[in-house]
Amino acid sequence: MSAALLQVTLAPRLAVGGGFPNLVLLLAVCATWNLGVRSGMAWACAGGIALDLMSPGPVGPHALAVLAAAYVAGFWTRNTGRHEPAHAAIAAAAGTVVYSMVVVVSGALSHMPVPSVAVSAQLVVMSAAFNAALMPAALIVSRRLVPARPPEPGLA
Amino acid sequence: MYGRARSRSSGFFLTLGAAMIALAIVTQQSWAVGPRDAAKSLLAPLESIMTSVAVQAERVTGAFGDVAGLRAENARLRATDAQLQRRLIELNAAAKENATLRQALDFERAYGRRMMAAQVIGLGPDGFTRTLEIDRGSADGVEPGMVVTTGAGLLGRISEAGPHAAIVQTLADSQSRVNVFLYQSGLQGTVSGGPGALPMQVEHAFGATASQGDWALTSGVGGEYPRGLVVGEVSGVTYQPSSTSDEARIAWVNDPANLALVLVITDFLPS
Repeated sequence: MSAALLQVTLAPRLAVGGGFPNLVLLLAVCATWNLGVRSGMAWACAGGIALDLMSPGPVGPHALAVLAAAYVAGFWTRNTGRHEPAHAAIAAAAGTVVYSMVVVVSGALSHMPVPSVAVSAQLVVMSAAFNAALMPAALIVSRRLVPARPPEPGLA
Repeated sequence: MYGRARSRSSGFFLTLGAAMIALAIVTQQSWAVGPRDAAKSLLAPLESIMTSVAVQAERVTGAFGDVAGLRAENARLRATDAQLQRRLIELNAAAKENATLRQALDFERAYGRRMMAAQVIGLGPDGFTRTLEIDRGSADGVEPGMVVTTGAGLLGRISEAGPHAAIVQTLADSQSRVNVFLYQSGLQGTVSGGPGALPMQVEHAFGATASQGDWALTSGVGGEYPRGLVVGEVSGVTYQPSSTSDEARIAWVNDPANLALVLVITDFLPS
C-alpha cells in the first residue's frame, strides 16, 4: 500500500522523458527474488490492486500487469544466482516491458485512453531504464528488511 | 522436480491472472461503478497526506540541486540590479491598480461560470494514462463529464467521480480532443492530446494564416467544452498548402505534474 501511495504521489515527479519508476513493480520483483515466485506473485496482486484503486477504470488491469511482471522475473530467479544485481536489473527491465504491454492492451480493451505506439515505446524504454537502474538498490534494501528464503527445492 | 516446481508456479500465475481478469470484468459493469468509485474514494485521504509529504520532499531535494545554479544566477542578477530597482518602482504603482481591479472582478465572476476549487491529491500511476485525482467527488456535486480548468486555462474533464474523490482525464491523454479557435487569426481547428506539445489541425480559411505566438482557446463547437478557455500558445506551424488544414503545435498552459489546485466548472456539462 505504501509503495502504491508513493507511486501516485512521488514517482510521477521524477519523470524523465515521460517515464518514471514503478515502485510497486520493483517491490514485486524484489519479493520474487527474495521470497520465491509464488510469494512475489501474491505481493504483485496486492500492490496492483492498490494501484487500481488509485487509477481510472476497472480494478484489476494493474494487478494483472504487475502479476505478469513478477512471473517473468521468476524465470530469472530460477535460472540465475540471487546475488547477481545485473540479473535483477535485467529482470526488472523485462518485467517493465511486460507490465507496460499488459497495461496498454487492457486499457485499450476497457476503452481507456492509451497513447500511440511511438509514445508508448518511448515511455516503456524510459520506465524500463529507470526500474533497471533502481533494482539493485531496491534489492539491497528489501533484503535488509526481509531476509531471502532459500531457493525452492528441486531448482538449480 | 524442476519441471513440477515450474508447473506449480505457472498454475498459480494462471489462477491469479484469471482472478484479476474476472475482477476487471466485474468492476467494469455499470452496476459496479458505484461501489468501485466508493472504494477508490476511501484512499483519497491517504493520497492527500502523501501528496503533501511528496511536495515537501521535492522542495528539500530541489534546494540541493539548485545551489550551484543559483550561485551563477545570483552573479548575473547583481549586474542588472540597478535597472531592476527603477523598473520595480514603476511596476509597484501599476501593481496597486492591478490588485484593486482583480479584487473587484475575481476569476469566477469574470469568466461567468460557477467553479469549485479542488486540491490535487494524486497522479496517474504510469505514463500511459495522464490523469489527476482530486479531493472533490459526487458528495460535493462533481459529476463525470464536468470540465476542469486552472487559473492558466483548460486542464481536462472529470472521467470518474466517487463520493469524495474524482479522477480528471487531462489534455495530456492522447485520446483527448478539443475544438478551438486561434485568437488572432480566428482560424478554427482541433487540438489533440499528447505528452508534449499538443498537435492541432488548423482548418484553412481565405485570408487568414496560423502563426507562431497566436493563442488557442476553446471554441465551444460540439458542446464538449465551454467557449473561451485558454488551451495554449502556438509554438510552431507546418504549412500544408495542398491539404485542407495545417499542422500546428500548441504549448499547453498546464503541467499536470506540478499542479496543486484546480477548478471544476460545475454549471456546464457536455451536450
